[in-house]
Amino acid sequence: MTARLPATASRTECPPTPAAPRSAPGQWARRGGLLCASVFLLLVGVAAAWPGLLSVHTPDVTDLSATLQGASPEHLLGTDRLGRDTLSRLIYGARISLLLGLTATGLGFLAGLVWGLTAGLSGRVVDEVAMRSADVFMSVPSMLMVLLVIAIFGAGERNAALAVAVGIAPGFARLVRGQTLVVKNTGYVAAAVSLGLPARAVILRHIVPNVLPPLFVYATMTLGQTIIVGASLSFLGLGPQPPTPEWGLMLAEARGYLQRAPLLGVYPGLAITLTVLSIATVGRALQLRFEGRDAR
Amino acid sequence: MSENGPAPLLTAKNLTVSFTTPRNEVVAAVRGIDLALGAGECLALVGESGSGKSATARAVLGLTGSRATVDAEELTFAGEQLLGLAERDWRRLRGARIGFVLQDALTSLDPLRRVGDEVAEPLVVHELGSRRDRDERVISLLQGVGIPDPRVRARQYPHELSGGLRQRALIASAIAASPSLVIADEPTTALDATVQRQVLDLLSDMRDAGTAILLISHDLSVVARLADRIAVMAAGLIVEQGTPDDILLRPAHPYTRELLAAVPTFGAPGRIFRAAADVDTSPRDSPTRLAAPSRADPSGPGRSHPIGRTILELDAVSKRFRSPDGTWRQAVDGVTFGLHAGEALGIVGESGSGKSTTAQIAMAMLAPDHGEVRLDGAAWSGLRERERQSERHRIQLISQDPLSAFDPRFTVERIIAEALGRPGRRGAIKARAEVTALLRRVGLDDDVLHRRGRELSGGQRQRVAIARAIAPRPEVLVCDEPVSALDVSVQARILALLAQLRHELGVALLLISHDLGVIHEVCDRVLVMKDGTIVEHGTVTEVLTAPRHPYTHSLLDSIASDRSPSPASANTDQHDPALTYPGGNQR
Amino acid sequence: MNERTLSPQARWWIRRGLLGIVVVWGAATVTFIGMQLLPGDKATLIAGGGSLGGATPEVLAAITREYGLDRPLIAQYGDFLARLIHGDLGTSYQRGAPVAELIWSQLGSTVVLALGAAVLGFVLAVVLATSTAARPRGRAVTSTVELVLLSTPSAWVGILALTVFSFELRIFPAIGNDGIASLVLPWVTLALPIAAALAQVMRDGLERALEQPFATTVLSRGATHGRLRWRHLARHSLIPVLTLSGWSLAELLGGVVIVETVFARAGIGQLLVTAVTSRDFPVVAGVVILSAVVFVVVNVIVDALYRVVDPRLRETTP
Repeated sequence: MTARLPATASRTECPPTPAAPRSAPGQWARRGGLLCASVFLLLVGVAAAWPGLLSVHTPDVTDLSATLQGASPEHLLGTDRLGRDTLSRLIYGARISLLLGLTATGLGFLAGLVWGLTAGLSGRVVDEVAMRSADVFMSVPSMLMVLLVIAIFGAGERNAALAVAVGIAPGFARLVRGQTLVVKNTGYVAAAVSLGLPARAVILRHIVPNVLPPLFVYATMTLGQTIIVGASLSFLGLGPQPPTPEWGLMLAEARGYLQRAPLLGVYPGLAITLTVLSIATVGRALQLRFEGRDAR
Repeated sequence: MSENGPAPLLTAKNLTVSFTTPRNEVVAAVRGIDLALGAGECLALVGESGSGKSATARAVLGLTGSRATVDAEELTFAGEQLLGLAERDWRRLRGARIGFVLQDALTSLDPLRRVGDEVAEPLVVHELGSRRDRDERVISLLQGVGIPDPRVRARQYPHELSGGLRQRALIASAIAASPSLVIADEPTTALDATVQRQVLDLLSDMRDAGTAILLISHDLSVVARLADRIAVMAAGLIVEQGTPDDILLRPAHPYTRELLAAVPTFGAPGRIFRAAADVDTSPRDSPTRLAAPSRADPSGPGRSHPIGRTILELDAVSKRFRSPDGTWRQAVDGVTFGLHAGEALGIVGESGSGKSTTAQIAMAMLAPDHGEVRLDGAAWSGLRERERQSERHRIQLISQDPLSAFDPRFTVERIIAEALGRPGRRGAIKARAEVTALLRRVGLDDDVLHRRGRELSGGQRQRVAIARAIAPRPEVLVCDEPVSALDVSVQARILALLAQLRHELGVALLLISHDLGVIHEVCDRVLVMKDGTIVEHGTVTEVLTAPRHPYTHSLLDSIASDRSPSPASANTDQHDPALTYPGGNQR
Repeated sequence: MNERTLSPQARWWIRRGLLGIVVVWGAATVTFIGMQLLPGDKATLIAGGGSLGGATPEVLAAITREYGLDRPLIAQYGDFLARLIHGDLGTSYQRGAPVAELIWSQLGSTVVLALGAAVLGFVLAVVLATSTAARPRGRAVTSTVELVLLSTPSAWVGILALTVFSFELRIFPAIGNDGIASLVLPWVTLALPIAAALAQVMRDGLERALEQPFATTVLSRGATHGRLRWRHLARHSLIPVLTLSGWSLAELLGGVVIVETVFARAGIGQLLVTAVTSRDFPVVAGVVILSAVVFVVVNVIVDALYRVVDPRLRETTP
């Protein structure tokens, strides 16, 4: 502009300044938390993939002469009612607990994606039917839906994962559909249509890629919850069966020995909580990053 | 009463307001300004967004927030020192002696409370009158600000009132406790032109009744009607201060002149063209010097483009929508018009007049309930989408909000390459030369190539949107409120660009706006829409100078201001040439 | 809009009611389909349970006739719906008793547990949210606590509570249905995650309302921050709480299953777990249908509450 005006006045056509970040001390705490969460998740991941690397004992060797022991150099976290090493069982338990959550979330996510995209991109009748059926599924608390599926197909690891997937799919479907409708009505989809692009190109190039990212964040958050539901099913005896090392199952087994060996009930719960908390922390960081990118 | 009044009501000397960002950077919003406002006087603070005018207003109320630091040599209200006032003392002033009117947003009044309760709140807070007195006072206040059926309205909720009535209720609440100063921050910005005028009249009556007004606005034409004095703010400083006549007729500061020039109004037909042309050639705009469009002389040859065949034709088009309450609303009702090749046709109307729906129908993004749209004489609205796809490139849209019209994942390069029929990253690289050429054409440099929409300024975004729209070589450009989201100085340049492209590419423009000034700048013919029908049409000059329909009259009245300068004296030709922009000092 | 024909209100209620019936019908249909998916012969399943030895062909034939298992599926479906309308949820495979009776006998203790936990959770959330909204320090602490609570399985919370308060400190009984003392730990266990989630959305709601223009308007009238918070913002923060009510209900009903197992309390949850374990499908189906009814009723109430809290919703049809 002119030399007489202060410099900042000439910024009418300059890019807007980036959004202000959150407070600085909070950021340090958040970074520290994120680091701990990532390290812990890495550890759990290694335990799930190669439990032999971390564990000294095998998880299912019983020793009836050394049951319900406290911590010792030999058994760092003591032994359970059959004299099995608790630490080993925790390490080996990571695999099934994680797998249960991952499978369920993955299946539920895929089903919800197809369901929601179909509803969002089809005509009114299909949309109405798809969403009313989602309403029906969601009118039953997902825990009960899960139990219903298990009542049909029976207990066990695989059925538990399937049941949890059925429990979460309608929620995903609704979210996908909502997101699809939002994206479908954006100016950029209108612009793509008015350029004369065929429907397939509009959907694959503009709609799906913009529908997915917020869902990944949601899926991460859901993963934590499915791990909890999976562990709860095991706790109820409806998931994997003994003597499988699994955190929920260990919790249930500890239930009978709270007086004699109270710590036995602490470890598996702590493992579940820390895992879920770490996933939530990472999920939140993803979300902030995602929103931050969007808000700028 | 203002000129020789006693001690001023509000005095600020060297007032500064700065904000501490969360990163502990200090940003100065107001950088040392002097204000004096006498009782019963109206002082207007005018400037674009970010000029510090709102921070000034809030400083006078002590509502700048915890991150702000307010300092001044002197800041007094009615003799009372405001600096360092305790919160409790601020509360004594707020509402009781200084009233505050915000811009009407749906949520400027608490949406969950009744209008009457909102208006009465200052009385409740300051414990004025008994409960019954307050009820009566609320009714008379609502009546006083011109709200019909005040007893009914008082029991309604804010969302049940129109924007104009809500703004009046907001004013009623601000003056409930009879303050001697009212601060009005953009009080008319979200309102339609006719309503705008009524609200300004109301404020004017208040001033005449002795209430001092500190009026904040970005719009010189609004301020001119009301203010006794105008202070122009830019970047936290007052760059110029004076009577409306001084500011409007003899603006001393170039920034003021730019503001004036950029306001696409037509208070005096013929005046704006020159000013806009001036801005067009301003080097700050872009590397490409936009040639002053051929409109410098409105009666000259530039007015008469060679008009060709009818390229877009709407024939008795109607469309209705279902409202949330289940009733049907006729958005467009039997609209018929034709757009000739290479012509610029404007559609003007207030919000809800059906002009945007008309644009959507013309684009074949919406199917009309009745009637037909033809493109170049062939079926258009009647086609199936699959058949239409290959023709769609012939008619392109430029929308009000370009940001949402860009895929957030795409860079500018990919956005435009896609419009050139070269999708994907590889396509973008192959199309690089074409993309750059298009960007040049709309006045942008290569350095925007790899930015995404949100990393561009408002003006840049609209330029990219225009580049994308002209990429497939359309014959018609539908521009739906193309500049209403932009700052006024940017508006003029974007309009000039559109006019220039039309000239160079021979593309026909269908320009939709609520602002007759915008239409006037670009179009040859204009249609006036109201309630879904066309109430008047003709050449822009005809409609502006001799409107036939009463609605057009009211549109014109609400903009043309009795305080606006007379045509002759406003002409930029009369300015001292030394005050025009020094050329080429930016790039 | 302002027609005094009484119809919009009435129409709204009718529409809500119909939607609710559709949802319950849908849930019932899902359970019917589930029943068809059960592996194995149905008559054997029905005969199964109590009688250890395999049922004789005569018995199976009798069951087939009695339950109409030889009729076409669509007729069975019709029968199923007709019985449902009369409140007949079928007969338990395992116990031979009507499902409705089984559920009814367990309902009381579960309702007490769930309602108490809901109230406790709400109160906790109000306290947490209003005391920490827009206060960075308090907010950092409580939001961390909330995140931890939401990441903790109820089963573990229950077990920790038992370990500390029943076995170590011996304040509350470990198991059973006797009196208030036996309810305290289950209530808290069930309420904590709900309190955590509600507190989060309430605080968000408060803070969002605080950023709206009307907050400035209110302060510019000379109102105190306290008045702003309680007279204006509190109401705004109720809206997100209502939005979360469906989730809270699901969390309560799901949590009941876990909590009743951990604390060995009789109730719907225990009934359900036993039924699932023993593949007693009619009982499971009955509980599912009942929970759909509860969900629909609660949702209608919540929708009505929305319209009380937010006048903007009163004239629109959902």
